[in-house]
Amino acid sequence: MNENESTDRKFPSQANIRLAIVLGLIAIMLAIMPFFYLREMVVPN
Amino acid sequence: MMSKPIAVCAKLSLLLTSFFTTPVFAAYEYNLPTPVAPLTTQMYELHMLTAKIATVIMIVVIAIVVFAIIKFRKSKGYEADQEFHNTAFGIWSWILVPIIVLGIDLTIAGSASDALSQVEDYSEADMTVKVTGSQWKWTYDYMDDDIRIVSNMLTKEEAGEHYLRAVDNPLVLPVNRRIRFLHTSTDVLHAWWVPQIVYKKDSIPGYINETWTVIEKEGTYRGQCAENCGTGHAFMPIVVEALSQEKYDEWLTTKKLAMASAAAEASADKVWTRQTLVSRGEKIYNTNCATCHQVNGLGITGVFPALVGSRIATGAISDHINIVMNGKSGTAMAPWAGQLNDLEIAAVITYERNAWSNNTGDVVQPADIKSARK
Amino acid sequence: MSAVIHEELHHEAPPTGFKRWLYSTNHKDIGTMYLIFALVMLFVGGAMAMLIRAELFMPGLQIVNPDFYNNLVTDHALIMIFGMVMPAAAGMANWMIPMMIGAPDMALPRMNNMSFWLLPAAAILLLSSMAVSLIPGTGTPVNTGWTIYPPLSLQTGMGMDLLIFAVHLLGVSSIMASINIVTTILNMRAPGMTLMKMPLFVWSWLFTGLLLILVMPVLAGGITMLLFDRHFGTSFFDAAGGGDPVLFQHLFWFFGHPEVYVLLLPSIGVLGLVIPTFSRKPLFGYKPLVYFMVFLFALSLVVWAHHQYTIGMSLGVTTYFMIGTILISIPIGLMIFNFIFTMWRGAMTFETPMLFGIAIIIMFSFAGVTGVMLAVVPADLQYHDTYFVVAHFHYALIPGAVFGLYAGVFYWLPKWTGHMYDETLGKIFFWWTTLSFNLTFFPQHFSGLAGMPRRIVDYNIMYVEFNQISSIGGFLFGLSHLLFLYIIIKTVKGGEKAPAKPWEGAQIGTPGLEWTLPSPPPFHTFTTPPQIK
Repeated sequence: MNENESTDRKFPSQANIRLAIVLGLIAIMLAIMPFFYLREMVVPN
Repeated sequence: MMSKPIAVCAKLSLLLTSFFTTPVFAAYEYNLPTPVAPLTTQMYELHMLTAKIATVIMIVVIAIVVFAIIKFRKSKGYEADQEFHNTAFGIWSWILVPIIVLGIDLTIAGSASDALSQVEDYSEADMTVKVTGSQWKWTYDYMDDDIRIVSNMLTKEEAGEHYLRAVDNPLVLPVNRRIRFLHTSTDVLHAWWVPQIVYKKDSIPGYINETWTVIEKEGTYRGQCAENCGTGHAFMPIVVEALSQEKYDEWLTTKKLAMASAAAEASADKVWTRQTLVSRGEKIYNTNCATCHQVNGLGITGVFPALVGSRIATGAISDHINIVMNGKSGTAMAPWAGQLNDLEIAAVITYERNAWSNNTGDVVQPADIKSARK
Repeated sequence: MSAVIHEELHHEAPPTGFKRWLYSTNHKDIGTMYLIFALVMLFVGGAMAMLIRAELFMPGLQIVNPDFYNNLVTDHALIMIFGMVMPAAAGMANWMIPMMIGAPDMALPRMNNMSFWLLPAAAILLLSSMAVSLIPGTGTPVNTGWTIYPPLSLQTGMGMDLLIFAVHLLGVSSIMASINIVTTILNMRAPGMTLMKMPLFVWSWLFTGLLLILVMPVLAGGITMLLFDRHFGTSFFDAAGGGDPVLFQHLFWFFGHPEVYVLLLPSIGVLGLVIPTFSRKPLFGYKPLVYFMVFLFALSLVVWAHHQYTIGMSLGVTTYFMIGTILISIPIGLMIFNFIFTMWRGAMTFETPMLFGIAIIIMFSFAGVTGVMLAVVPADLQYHDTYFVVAHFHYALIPGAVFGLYAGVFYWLPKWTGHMYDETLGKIFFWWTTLSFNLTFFPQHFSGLAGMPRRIVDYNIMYVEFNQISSIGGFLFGLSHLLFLYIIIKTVKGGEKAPAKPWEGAQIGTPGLEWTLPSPPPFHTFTTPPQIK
């Protein structure tokens, strides 16, 4: 079912929010990855 | 690569530029300089091959586009063929094009593989030179002969037409011997590059990279630091002096003698006068320190601190010795303990405390540095 | 609440005053703001380029000091990439994608507002990172180049911290914009607008958005680690503390290489509309183009280390990156081929967008062949970090990305403003800008081969000739953009009324729905979804 039959422009549909959250989570995961992979590099000076 | 158009272009440029400036021009170059080592020769040939392939591809692309825009224009009454993309050519070209491109790609990659394995060939060398980049000079350690050369840029007046590509102490190497270079750095990234004889590998702190060469001809070869290393990046030239074996041996003996006498002088328990130390220190200061702190000792506001009237240079002597020997972490101030001998450090500190308007009258003796080293 | 919203929906006229822009959730208004922002940044980044070329006009230090010079180099790159090309492409996406696929607006209109309004904030931070070095006691300016490699970036002063935060904001902004665009494309298509009916521009932005979501966070992670190293005592990149300076290069280029395709793909999408339109026949090989974009997307994520051939990797790794990089020529070659054969047997006319299209095909091919030259490792060990590289990537990014956007501006200006632009002025702009661009960057191949390194403020007199040609070309290139600005202002202010479909061939092949709307389109479009046969 196509989502744009909703005429409510300011409040996105559930499907749009779901997809956006998934994509956002992927982004956050990727941003954190270098830190986990390299936590042994955190050596105090 | 496309020699004729380039020659024309270069001549035009000479004509054009002569309107704007008056100084005499050095001979301009428009291709990689003539290689004088086996590996750089291979790279040069590879470059010429890919450049020729590139030229041919460009000629073909331009020819097709020009033909299309001349022939298929509406103003000539040409009707668009709406089914062209559905012809056999249109349907199969997506497989045809990648095959052709892949063929060209494999030709290029194939011809590169030999040179590539040569680059990574770490077999035994006849001599090894450790090349250390620091802000902003090169230090060469002859690993087999225990010789060190510190190489600084020459000023405009001294260097003439080779300004920015001339140094006070060039790296001296023999011809026809396999030389291994080990690259590292004391502070930030640098890249040691002399296009005619050695390709680049970065100098990275904590890493040792390796390159090699066999110089086939005597001569002077010039290059510049290729990796951005901060304020003085443009002012970090490289000069290699290639000598025949006999001349090189001769140079080696003289150099060893000079180094031995300098070391003996520095470690002797002699007490120096202030005047001698100041005049020796001035020379050392101008080669090693003036890049940042400037010849007039005023530094660069906000970037490099001034020494004139500074807390360190006019305050406690022990602090002054400490910062010169150990540097200051997080800044461009390098530790000099390993780079200068006791006499040199004593001289430069004495100079800094007496030069300009710093009339402290203090004298620092090599013995003070010796005790600070412990 | 719902009554208020209900009320709003019946107002077809846009709100007035600053609220229209500050609170905007309308994709057309936000698109306009993106485009204006990009235009402003084009002149800011361009002014920096003019300063760079003025300094390099003659050997010696004339105008700027070495640190400020490299700060200019750094900010010129960041502003042109993050401030100009990406916002301009995002502005076009905002304007056109909902109209092309028949959606009423973007999927997440309020996030759309936020992703735009982060940009001016980021731009202010970025410019203040440059200004702060004028205050004594803030340390060295950001003299690292846009790659901000440690350890040099650990030495620089406060400007680097501001720059890191600016890049964070820019990253957050473009990740949000990408999420929005990807969601719009996947969820909001009108009934009947199947994926394989989408205009190429929409496809290209789908991949651009996905690429940004995958790589931008990695850069954010990398620069955060840099910030930690600078202030919180970690040693991710400090060899003395057990860290690894090369790690940052890997993180940076894992972002940096796909970023090149982020810049290129939207423009390739524009070409995929412009060339069929003015050749009056469908795109040659639409499906292969889409599939090869997938190939390009995947390949771009796994070839990053070709920017670091000189760091000393093993033979196996180097060979892998070399072959991977050379393989990029396959999808790019197919794209060029398909665009050329879209023109083949067409009925071409040469309006300004088409002139840009043809110029892009030729000049971008040139960037492609020098790219293959650079991909060959042994030769790259000579080219690396010289002006040859500078010339190569300016040939890739100015025709590949910037001229593609200019083509898009001229192509869609009638739709956006409702007025036709002045065709004569457009053509003058095209010839002026293209010729001066070549005058600027073609000689740099030669100075690079002769051994002139990048990012140097002063050079030996053997490089004088090529640098002077380059500077003269650069000034002309910069000047041509004043004409560009004039054309845009003139078109916005008035001119011949544009019909709904100003280009004869615009509905050929796989067109979007934008040409079914009047020019300029009403404030709200496709409130009820259109039907596509």
